[in-house]
Amino acid sequence: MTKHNENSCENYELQLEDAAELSAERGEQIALSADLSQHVSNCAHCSEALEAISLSRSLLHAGFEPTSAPSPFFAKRVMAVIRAEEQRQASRGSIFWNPLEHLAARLAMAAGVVVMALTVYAYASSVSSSAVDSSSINAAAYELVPHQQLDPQPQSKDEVLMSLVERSNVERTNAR
Amino acid sequence: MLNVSGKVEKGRRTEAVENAAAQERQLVRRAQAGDVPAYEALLAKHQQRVFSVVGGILRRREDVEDVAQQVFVKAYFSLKRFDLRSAFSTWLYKIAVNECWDYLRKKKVRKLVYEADMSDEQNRQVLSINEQPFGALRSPEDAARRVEQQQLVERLLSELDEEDAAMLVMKEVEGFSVEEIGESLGINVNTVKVRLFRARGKLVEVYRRRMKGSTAAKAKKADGNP
Repeated sequence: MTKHNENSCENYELQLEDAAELSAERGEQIALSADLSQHVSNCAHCSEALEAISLSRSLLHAGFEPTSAPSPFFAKRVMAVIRAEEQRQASRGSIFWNPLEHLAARLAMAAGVVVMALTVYAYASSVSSSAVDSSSINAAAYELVPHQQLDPQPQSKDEVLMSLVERSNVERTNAR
Repeated sequence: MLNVSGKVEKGRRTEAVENAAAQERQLVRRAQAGDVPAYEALLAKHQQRVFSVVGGILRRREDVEDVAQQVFVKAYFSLKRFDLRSAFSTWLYKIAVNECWDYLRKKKVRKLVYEADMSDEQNRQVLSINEQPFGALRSPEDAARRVEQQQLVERLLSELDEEDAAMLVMKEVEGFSVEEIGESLGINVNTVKVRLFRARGKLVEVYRRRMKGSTAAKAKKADGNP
């Protein structure tokens, strides 16, 4: 047996792994090429490695079976989970937007009420301002009348008595 | 003549593979556009392989279906981000592998370290491994024995790097090629080969160490109690 040479053995390690792969594919014993076979028979390290391939394979086959096929309901279960998740996401979206929608509706209502109130206020204020305008016009007209055209204020009691007498005379004449 | 027919055959196979790939891309595009039956078709096509990937990594039958389900749910909701630059299977297996590592992390499956060597009975069971034809154990006793054997091999694997152990199981138990393993785990093919080679060596080394320890303990016991 030759000594283990890391550099040359590294190359043979890959060849051994390839041989193991090929044998697994074909379900046969590991078959080595002439070159590899010669190296393995002369190299203790690679000879042990070849043994390790067989033993590890036996151990693993004894320990585990290939994973069994999925049940016929697996796909249906997956699709049911997907649908449920989609619904959950959709409802999560509406849970997020619902409060905002409520808030927006309330804001719109409040804005409507404010607009109505402003309209009423504006109408009322325009009506009252027109009333004020007419009274101010009257006042202006009143102010335009000269003081002397209006009834003069009595200066004394005699004038009051005289005016009463005059008024009764006028009424008597009118009655006739 | 043989050579020509071989080339024709190879050409036909390549054409078939390309057709299958084109059909799959078509299915993926439809699924991306929201076509649920197209996704169901993809699911039906890949579910077995995803089970194998997950089974190879978790090695616990009871967890495989739950994680595989999670893989397909995740793939469905991430499908729009898949750019079709790689094969759908490659993308899907990567999701499966990541989901497995996440699952193991969440479960905090601690690496089992067994200080004690195997008992004589355990040794006997492991030694008898080679004598039993694969899949021959079917009675309740055999099933129980099978579970024990699985636990023993699981102990051996627990001393390897998690990814190396997954590679070994995927290769030897689930029947993946080194290319498929590399694709799933995102590792170069030659690196997969080297790591598999070393993982085998380590597995056998652990196995032999335990055997040796057990034999020595047995001899000591025999010396102490003549």
